[in-house]
Amino acid sequence: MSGSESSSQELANFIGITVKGLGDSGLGIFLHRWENVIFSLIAVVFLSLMAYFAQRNRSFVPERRLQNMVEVLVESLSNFVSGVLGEKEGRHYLPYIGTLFLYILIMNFMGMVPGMKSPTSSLNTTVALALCTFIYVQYTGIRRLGMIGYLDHMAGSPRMPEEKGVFKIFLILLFIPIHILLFIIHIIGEFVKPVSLSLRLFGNITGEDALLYVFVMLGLSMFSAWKSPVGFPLQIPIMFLSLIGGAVQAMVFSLLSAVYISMMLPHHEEVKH
Amino acid sequence: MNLDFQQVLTQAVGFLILLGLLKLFFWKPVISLLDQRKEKIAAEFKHIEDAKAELATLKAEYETRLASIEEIARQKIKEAVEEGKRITDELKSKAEEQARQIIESGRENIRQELLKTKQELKSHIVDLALRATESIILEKLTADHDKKLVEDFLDKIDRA
Repeated sequence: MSGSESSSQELANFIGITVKGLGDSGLGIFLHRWENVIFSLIAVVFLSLMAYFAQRNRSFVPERRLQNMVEVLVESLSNFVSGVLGEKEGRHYLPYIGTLFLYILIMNFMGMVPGMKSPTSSLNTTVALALCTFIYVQYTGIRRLGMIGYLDHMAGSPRMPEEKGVFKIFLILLFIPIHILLFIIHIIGEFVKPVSLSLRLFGNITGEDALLYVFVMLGLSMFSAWKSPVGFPLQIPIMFLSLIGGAVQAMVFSLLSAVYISMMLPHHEEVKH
Repeated sequence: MNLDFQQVLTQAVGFLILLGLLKLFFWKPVISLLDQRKEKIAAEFKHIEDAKAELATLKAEYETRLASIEEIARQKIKEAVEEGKRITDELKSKAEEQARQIIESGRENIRQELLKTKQELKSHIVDLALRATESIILEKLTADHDKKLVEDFLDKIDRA
């Protein structure tokens, strides 16, 4: 969904206001088109700065509040990823899953900041993230299983039947089409994963932002008789809902990414609960 | 819902840049720090456990030594008591011997003194008797004759 299509159901943001001011000028059109990318970049810069400040003057014994918070966050994310992938694999894939979680979380919460917008309410953003996960999962599968192992995994790991004689030939003839079918189903399944990931995130965040917009408009309409510039803050309960929803959606996206990675690993480690 | 592939690509590149930055400057140092801390804590715990085990060994050794020291002390005390008893017995027997000797010599002295006193008393009585007899009979007998008479008299008295 491009910026122009979503603007009718979203709260005003500073780029939208700038675009209105610029009109149909080249810069206006550019900003209008790249609105979500700019907000994503803001999230990138914010996270990078946070990481920088968290890492600056870090000590072995944490004394600063920021370092404490960051370590608690990292430890929690590590436990979360290790719960799905196991201790060793969890540590290896933590940077990807963790970054994904933090990035989506920040982008989801941006919709609640006045003048900002959730870039995840754009399908372009969620598709990009889902494609990254899809490519990373396939890359992990090929790297960890090898190309033959990867194709074997996609075909449902066919094995020669132990039976002998005519029955064996019969089973082989029976299993060949089954495994071809399984291969096709697996391929379709792999392509469906990013679609489901992106649509789920996009739908939920768009819904939350639309709900916020509706309640803000409702609050404004309550005081419209007095021509008040400030409306009744009806959106506050929806903001709490968005907080929960944004965190849950970030977690779901990260969790599913971890699960997809774990499905591609050669041996599933013993999962600790 | 129109997908803009340029935007998708840009978003993906943005995410990958963030991933690279965070991986290099955030995740790796933080994970490394947490691992180091975990290892240090584990090492400290192991050190504490080792120290505890060492302490238990030392305690057992100390108790064994203490028990042996107590045994030695008991033995020494027993030996000292026996020695003391032996010395006491020796001193006692010596003292008894000395006392016996003192008593014996005392008895001998007393006997000698008694004998001497008896002799002196006897001669004194003889002298007294002679003087008395002389004065009574006014007759001077010879000294040997007198003495014999008195001694006979005293013998009679002794016998009586």
